[in-house]
Amino acid sequence: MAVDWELVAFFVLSAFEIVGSILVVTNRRLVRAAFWLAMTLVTIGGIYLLFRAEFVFLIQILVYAGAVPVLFVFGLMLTRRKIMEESSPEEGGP
Amino acid sequence: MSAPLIPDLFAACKVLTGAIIWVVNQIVLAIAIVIPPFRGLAEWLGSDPVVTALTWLVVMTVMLLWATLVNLLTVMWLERKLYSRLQDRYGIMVSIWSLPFWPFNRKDRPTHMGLGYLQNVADGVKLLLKENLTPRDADSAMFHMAPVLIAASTLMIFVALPWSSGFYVVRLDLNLLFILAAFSLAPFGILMAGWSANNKYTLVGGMRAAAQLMAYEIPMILCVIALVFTTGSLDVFEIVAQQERPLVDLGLFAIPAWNLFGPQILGFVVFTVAMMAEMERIPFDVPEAEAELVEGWTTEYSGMRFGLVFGFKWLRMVAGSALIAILYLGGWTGPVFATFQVGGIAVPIVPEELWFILRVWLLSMVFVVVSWSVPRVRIDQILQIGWKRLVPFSLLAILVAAGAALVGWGP
Repeated sequence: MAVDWELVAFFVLSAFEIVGSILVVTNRRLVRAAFWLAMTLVTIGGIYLLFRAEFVFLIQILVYAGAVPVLFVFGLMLTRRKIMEESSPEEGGP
Repeated sequence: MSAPLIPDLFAACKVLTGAIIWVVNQIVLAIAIVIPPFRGLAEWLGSDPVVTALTWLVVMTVMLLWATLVNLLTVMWLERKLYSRLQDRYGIMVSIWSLPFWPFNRKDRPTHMGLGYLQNVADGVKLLLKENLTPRDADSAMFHMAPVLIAASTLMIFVALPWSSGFYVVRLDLNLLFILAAFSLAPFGILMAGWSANNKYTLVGGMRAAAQLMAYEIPMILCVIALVFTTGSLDVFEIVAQQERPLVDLGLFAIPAWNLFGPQILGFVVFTVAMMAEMERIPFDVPEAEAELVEGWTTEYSGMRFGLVFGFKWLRMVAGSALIAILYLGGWTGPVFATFQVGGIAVPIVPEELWFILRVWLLSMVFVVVSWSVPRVRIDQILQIGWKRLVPFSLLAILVAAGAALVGWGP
């Protein structure tokens, strides 16, 4: 039986993309949500590659994977007071 | 017109793969005498799709070993020796005769008057043997994934980066864009490493690194746009081929038509400064300013994971120097001094690969000399240089290149 590997790749990428985009909006830790957003954008780039659109794929990686999640994290850093985990006082040292 | 030492890396590796498969097949056929079904395995191994797939793996391995074991180690060694000389000392000098086992434990040889080339290997072995610590409050999955992402995105550059007209893994149509895209993945991995360690030094270092790398990517890509006005191509092979003709013939030697000579000089300066910031070298190394942030975003890493994120900075330096050499300094073109005959074909004594690594290593040494002789600039000054100086200058470079293309003034 001949398997259409491009279709398989499309379904795998779509599954990653849907799971990633659900995690972006449900994750309670906002920095993690920004990193899930990066995975969603990279898988969208992979789908562009399946459509034989190499230029759009490379621009997607260049702009969306490299820059947009980083900008989101900057936004989080500049608006929220704490984005790090705090040790509780009794277990941490002085 | 120089010629490459390896005219076709894929064909060369196919011969190597064929030899390996032949040896394996002899063993499998010897087993097949006892267990007959193994004969099918030998036939499957010798079939064409399997050989092609394995050849791709061999090609990638050859490029990996070439990039890390030859270029990374040599550039690290050159840097350590050179900055030691700048500081008026000898630098690493431990020779191979200091190893405590046969055949190196010779009492009659000096142990500490060598070149010290294997010092980096020794440091790597030391890092491999160290314990791999994870901070208690760290985001474990992302903490462990970030070095993989950084290393993978750096090695992705070498998939498309050619070392001569024959020594490359794969020839893409848009390989210049691919190299830039692979370069641009790093801030994400660095930010991930800085945030996940849950340490204020790594967080500040990661944020600074991401801000700096993103700010300096913009003038870099704008300079590439200016260059494309001259070359009209996003293919690095085409860009290098255009720089092969002589610009001015002076009789004894000719000035080659590098993109550096001509309207692209401003773009070259901006691109080099931006590339220096992309490499996080010293005038722009606030991400790991060791006086204020212990080791920047690599603080919490230990063992070989630290070795990966630390050593791959040099690999990015090699890739960045190679990119500057390809775009502005003529790539692998070079004069031919003498040729010798191999089966009726004239092969130059100095092949293209040698011209190229000469440029790459010399350019890396220029970066080393600059970075060990200037002070570090503050983070706000870095962002001011990036946004208020380099971006306008790169826009000016685009304007100059467009005007030069209009009136037909080229290198």
